[in-house]
Amino acid sequence: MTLHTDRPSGGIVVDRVTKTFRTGTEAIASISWTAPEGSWTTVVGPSGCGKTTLLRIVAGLISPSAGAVRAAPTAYLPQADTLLPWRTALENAILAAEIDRQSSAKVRGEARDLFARFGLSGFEGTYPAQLSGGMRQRVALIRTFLARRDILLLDEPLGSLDPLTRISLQEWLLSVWAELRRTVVLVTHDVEEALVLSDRIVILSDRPSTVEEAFSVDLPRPRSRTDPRLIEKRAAVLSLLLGVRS
Amino acid sequence: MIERARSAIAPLVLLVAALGIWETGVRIASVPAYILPAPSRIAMTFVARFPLLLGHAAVTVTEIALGIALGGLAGLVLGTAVFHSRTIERAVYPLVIGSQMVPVFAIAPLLIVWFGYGLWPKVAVAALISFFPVVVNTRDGLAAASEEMLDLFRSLGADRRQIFLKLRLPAALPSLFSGAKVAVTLSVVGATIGEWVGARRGLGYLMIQSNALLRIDLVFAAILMLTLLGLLLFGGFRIIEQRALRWRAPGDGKKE
Repeated sequence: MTLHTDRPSGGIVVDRVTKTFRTGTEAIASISWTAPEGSWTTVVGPSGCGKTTLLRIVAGLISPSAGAVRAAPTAYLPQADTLLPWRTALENAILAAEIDRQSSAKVRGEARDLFARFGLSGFEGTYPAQLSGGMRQRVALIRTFLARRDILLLDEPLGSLDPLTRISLQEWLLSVWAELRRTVVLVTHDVEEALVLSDRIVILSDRPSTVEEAFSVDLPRPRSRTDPRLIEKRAAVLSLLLGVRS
Repeated sequence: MIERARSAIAPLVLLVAALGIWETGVRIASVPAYILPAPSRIAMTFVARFPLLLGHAAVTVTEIALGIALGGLAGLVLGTAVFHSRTIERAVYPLVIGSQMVPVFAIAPLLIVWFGYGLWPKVAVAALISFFPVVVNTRDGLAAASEEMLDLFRSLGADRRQIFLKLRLPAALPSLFSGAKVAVTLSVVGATIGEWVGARRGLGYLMIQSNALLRIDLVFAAILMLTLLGLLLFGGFRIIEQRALRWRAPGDGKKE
């Protein structure tokens, strides 16, 4: 099947971005990082460190107090469950195309293909209230893919799922990404998830956040959770995060 | 279906019990019918005078329907305006709330003076009384869309019109239906008040007339008719609501 593999992905440059809210809260002290075209970057950091704020800045939803972001158009998947309850699963999946006023029949066909491929066949006409958490999240991800933006910003898309569903969706995400080769920025609390999925990991410090450390994960995919190198990296990242906290 | 039938049993038992006590009480104490008629007598009057009741009900229903339509429309427009503009909200909202403190009973006679004895003063009372819940529920409903959903729409480059039509309006529907149901109930009251103050036809008029003639059984029959009308209207709105909010009902309509 064709998933617009021919489209080039854009990269992201975050250049000395700071953010202080009008309330006086300093969320981001100064952050710089770059994500090459088609790469997968995962942002981890302590709770409330400004990860979501950073993602919203990259998405263009809020502007930074200083600094600049250079990025192609993005598709943003917010952390909360954002399926529209009055739309069926399929109608939710094609929301972006509808807003872009694209031809509905074509996108519907494409959405149906994706539904079939990701075990959602037969649920096209189902309302979100009747879908399981894992299914809802898959529909939200399909919606994000179908938005046809060069950059995907995913804010804890798997955070609320049980461990088994989570692992299967991680594999699913990876397979879609391998095919689409869009630039992905993922925010997560789960260090293992970050190590299994990403090309690069950016660790943020506590608020006001800065980049504590950024490193590449040079392990071939698919990666095994039981790979000693991965386990070793995981321990290193965790101790770094614990250090950031105290 | 079984569940619904079961949930209807309790209120039905209570109703039958209350009517039983009423019936026996009236018979034992031999209360005269011009003070309090027995339910059986009211029922007989209701059946015997059904054509008369129906004729008056037709007038009242017209007033109610027009009242809801006008009050609802005005409420929708004002609620939307109040939601969209801080200035309008500051200027209008306190006055709208204040206006609800004025008893409709006090205005009804004035409306008769202004509009005469015909249909329109009753429609005006019904509209005035049903307008308020629609304003409040429209405003609150439009504000119901979550910040995350708004983020999603903005990040997809949706314009204001798309955000309103595809997000705010559907998100407001549950609230709008709540407002509509309250409005229906209130407009029945409104139309009746209008008829009490001055009318030549309608169930409210029939009540006043029968009361003066000590035909209390007919007063009750008219009340019964009015109650049935109110329930019918309310039920109608519930059916429309369930259709429109199909997505909300868990368990049924699993597949299309």
